[in-house]
Amino acid sequence: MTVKYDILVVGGGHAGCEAAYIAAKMADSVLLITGDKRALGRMSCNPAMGGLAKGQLVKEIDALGGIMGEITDLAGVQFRLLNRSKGPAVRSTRVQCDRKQYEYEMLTKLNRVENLEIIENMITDVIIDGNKIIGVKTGDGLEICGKAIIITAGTFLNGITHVGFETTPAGRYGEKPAVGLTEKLNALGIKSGRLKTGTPPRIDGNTIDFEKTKIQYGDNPAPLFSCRSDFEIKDQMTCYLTYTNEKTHEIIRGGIDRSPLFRGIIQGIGPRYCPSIEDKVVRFEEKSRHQLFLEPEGRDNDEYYLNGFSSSLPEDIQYRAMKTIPGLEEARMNRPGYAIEYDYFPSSQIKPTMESKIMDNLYFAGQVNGTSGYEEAGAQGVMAGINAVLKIRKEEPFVLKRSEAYIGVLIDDLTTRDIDEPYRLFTSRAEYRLMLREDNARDRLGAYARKFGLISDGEYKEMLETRKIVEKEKARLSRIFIFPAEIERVRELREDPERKLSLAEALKIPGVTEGDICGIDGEFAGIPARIRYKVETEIKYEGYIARQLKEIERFGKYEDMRLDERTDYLQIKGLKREAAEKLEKFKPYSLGQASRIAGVSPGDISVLLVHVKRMQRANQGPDVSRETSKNR
Amino acid sequence: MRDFSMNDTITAIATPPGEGALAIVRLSGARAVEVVHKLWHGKSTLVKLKGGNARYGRLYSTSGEFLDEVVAVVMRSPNSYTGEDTVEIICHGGYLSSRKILGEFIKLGIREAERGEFTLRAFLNNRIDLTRAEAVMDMVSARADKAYNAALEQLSGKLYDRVNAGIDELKELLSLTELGIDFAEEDIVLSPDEEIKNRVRELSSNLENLSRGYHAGRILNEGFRVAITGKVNVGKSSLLNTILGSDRAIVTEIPGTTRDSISESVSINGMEVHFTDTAGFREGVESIEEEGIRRARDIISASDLTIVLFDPVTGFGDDDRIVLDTVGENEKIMVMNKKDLYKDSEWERLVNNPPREIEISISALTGENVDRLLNAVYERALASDDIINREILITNRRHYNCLRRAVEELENALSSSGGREILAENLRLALNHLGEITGEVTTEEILNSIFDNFCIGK
Repeated sequence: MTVKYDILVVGGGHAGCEAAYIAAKMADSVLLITGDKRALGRMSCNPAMGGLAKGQLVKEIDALGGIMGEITDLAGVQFRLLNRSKGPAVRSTRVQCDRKQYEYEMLTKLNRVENLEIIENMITDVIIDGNKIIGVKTGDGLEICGKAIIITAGTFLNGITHVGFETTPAGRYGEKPAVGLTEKLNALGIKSGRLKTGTPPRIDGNTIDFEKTKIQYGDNPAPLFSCRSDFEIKDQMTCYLTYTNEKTHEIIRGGIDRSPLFRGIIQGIGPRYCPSIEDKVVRFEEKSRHQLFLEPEGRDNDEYYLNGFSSSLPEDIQYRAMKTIPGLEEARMNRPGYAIEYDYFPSSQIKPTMESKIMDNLYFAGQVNGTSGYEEAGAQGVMAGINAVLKIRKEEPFVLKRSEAYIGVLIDDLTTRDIDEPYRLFTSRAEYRLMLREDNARDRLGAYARKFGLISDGEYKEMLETRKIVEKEKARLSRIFIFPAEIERVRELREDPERKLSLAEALKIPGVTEGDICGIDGEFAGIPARIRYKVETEIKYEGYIARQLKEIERFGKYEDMRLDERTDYLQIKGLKREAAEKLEKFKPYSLGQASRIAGVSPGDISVLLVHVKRMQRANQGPDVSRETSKNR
Repeated sequence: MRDFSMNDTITAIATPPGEGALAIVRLSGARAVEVVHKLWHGKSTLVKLKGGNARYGRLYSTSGEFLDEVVAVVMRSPNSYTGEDTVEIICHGGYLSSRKILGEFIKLGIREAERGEFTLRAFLNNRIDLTRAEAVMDMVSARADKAYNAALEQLSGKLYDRVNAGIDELKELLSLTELGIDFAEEDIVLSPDEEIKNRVRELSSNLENLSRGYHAGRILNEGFRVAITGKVNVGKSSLLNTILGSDRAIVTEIPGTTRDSISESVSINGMEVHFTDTAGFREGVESIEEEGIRRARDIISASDLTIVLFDPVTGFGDDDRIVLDTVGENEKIMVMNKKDLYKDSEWERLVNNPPREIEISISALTGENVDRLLNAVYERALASDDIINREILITNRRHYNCLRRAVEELENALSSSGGREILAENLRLALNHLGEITGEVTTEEILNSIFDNFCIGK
């Protein structure tokens, strides 16, 4: 039998949930296919959402009408703003979550979405019609048709877990892998590779001696992710900090001969920013201790996640090493850490819309593209969801620029670079970092969300209202003048006590905060703290942002200049061979993208520029020169 | 990010190098008219000028120095060669004028055009027929890469090494800075801001020093500039004429078209030397006006060396003091002229009169000792900026500009009191500028450096 939907989403992790949720807001019918409904949005690794650069991603997903921020706020147990002592551009929210509650809230929320159906099944094959994908087949023979299909299989494709020499086919600990789909896609010409990631042991909280650790509290008031969350967080849970020591390292070294990583049993490449404890001990031999965090798994769950102790060593080594750690001497290990190897599809094979370059209407999002992280996955899910719907509606695709969002940076990196380890976002990957902040995610993306109908009228209106207040306050603060003595910090720094300065100028001075201004100007004190923060940030960064805007403008035309995906770069005269081959491989979306591909020189870009122009003019017909003369 | 763009304003000297009567500096792009207007002193404003019109006026530098009397031809988009707003500045020929004007435009943020870039823009803006596309394509592909390769070839091994060493240091500084931002939660001892800033300071002064090699390189490449100055009738024109061995430098004054200076080039032992007569002192002694002095000062400060001529007939007077004041701290050779009018015995006494620091005595009229003077000029040219000892010469202006901009960003980094993310921003920009010399540095390399050197990861 055959059933037909607009959009099929294969996989119910962070990419899948976002893709299904966003697509259902735009399309008539969406089907989410998952192996286990109760595992929707499962946090396979650490029970936390956000963090540096990732917090910005969650805010962006939220601004685009995505779901991750809202669910995190509901399921959060500890909320912190990282890098608080640094500039606003590099501050990021991170929230420890109740893992079970997260899954529960996700299921509840998705169940309520109109146009979205969720079924439990495993996909083993796809149905194609020429170069176009038109449906999927389940392991039990069901055929489901969709106008566009989004694959968000995470680590499930031919997943194998490793604990010592013990290997188990699994998509996650204790869950069956997805077998067969990779090979079917390979047969269509889509290449795959192997990556690896790992996770640490889970520990019974009742057996931990927290006295021997350092407590880490959440922030009060708790910073929330979603602009749609209108509640306050009451009691937060705490995390705990402890360290490994030489004894721990000795035991780990003693187990290296049984490490699948060091014995070459694990072939997939792991992330360098998230190494296993054995990797850290071997590579940084001189370090006498490594930092570990004990993170709660949930409110009514006694389990703790031993962050920093990711391992694929045999269980007995992990256990003995754990016992040497202060606070864990008497601890019980509920579950050992493990490494997982899985298939991914190198992202040079997708367009910035997340659509496959090889099969029309087939989209990939999340860890299958070689990324790591819930937030990176969710962001791709949102973009795949929106673009899949736009495609079946035959509308212009939605691609974010590097200057607009971390999402833009992420996807641009994926589609212009050879990625050879699980890709994770860092703020330093963004050249326009000062502009891509948590506080202005809505300013950057709200209009898009509005255009695609992803946020409500009320939300959009409120956003514009906020913008208006910020602009008004910025102007107003530049018109009110004070003597340096009125603000302590200004008095210290200003030489001439008689020379007045505006409140805006004062706010520009490092160390002066919106709080200082509140003490002087009652009207400013009267507006919400969230808006005051925005005013402060925008005033402080003004000069730098003006410069970045100039830089963006300078290169802007290239970003808007689309390249035809049917271009045969090997046929363009004047391109260097290496450049032509790289361009042929990545088939860049825009001239801007082309310029970022390694091996493409400014000379090659000039050649492309002339080529594009020539094609345009050729397409316009022979009358162009006459049209030009008319302009004279 | 690489430095190519097509929506900024570009400029270049459009006339071939050498000594023409006129030179043309061309600007193309949205800011063309605005930028010229900033330097413009004339009866009519350029801003509202319709395309296809020319205006006479004077250009002054942003700091108020007189540059030249010029004619500006304004063309409005799309009716220009490039299809963009274009201004062509017709100025006096010779070395100084066009270079100074170009330099001012660059100071105002205008980019010096790459070879063939005006033509590329003409094509992109539909100003060149489609049938010529192939030719344009050949040209641009040859253009950018050739320019790049030529520039690379010009990079002496040592300059290349020094720039690369700068890049390595910047990469490390940037990775130390980013470490404190992206990996703030890691258990890593961070370098204190002061330590980073000290290293930035040192790097900045290294690069600054390196960029000075441009001056030496430029002398070898473009010639050594010598001003000839002295009070009226001291024999400046005669000296110039004698040097040139012809009467070519004689000027007939045509009212209203007065040229402020005469500039001629000769080759001394294979080195090109440009002599410029500071005609500003030509007016009568009593009327040495501010204007004339300022022009002379401009020429002198743009020169590498000044020959100061003294006249034994009139003796040392106030007008000579004014001349010496004008020369100020600039490199100079003190020369007594008109040796032919005196016996050797008298001469000794004359030379020991004020200003007493005469280095060479000549007769511009008979040519006596002029060879010695030229030799002295040559020696000074070699000694200037340590041309011989300086190991690293920078001959490419683009390299020089990149170095200057990198230094500027490092200085910004030092003067900023913003946080680490601001420091990182300035370092990143500095790195981009250096990268324009030897090749781009990607963020991936910064991350690699972090992962290689620090134990990252929970």
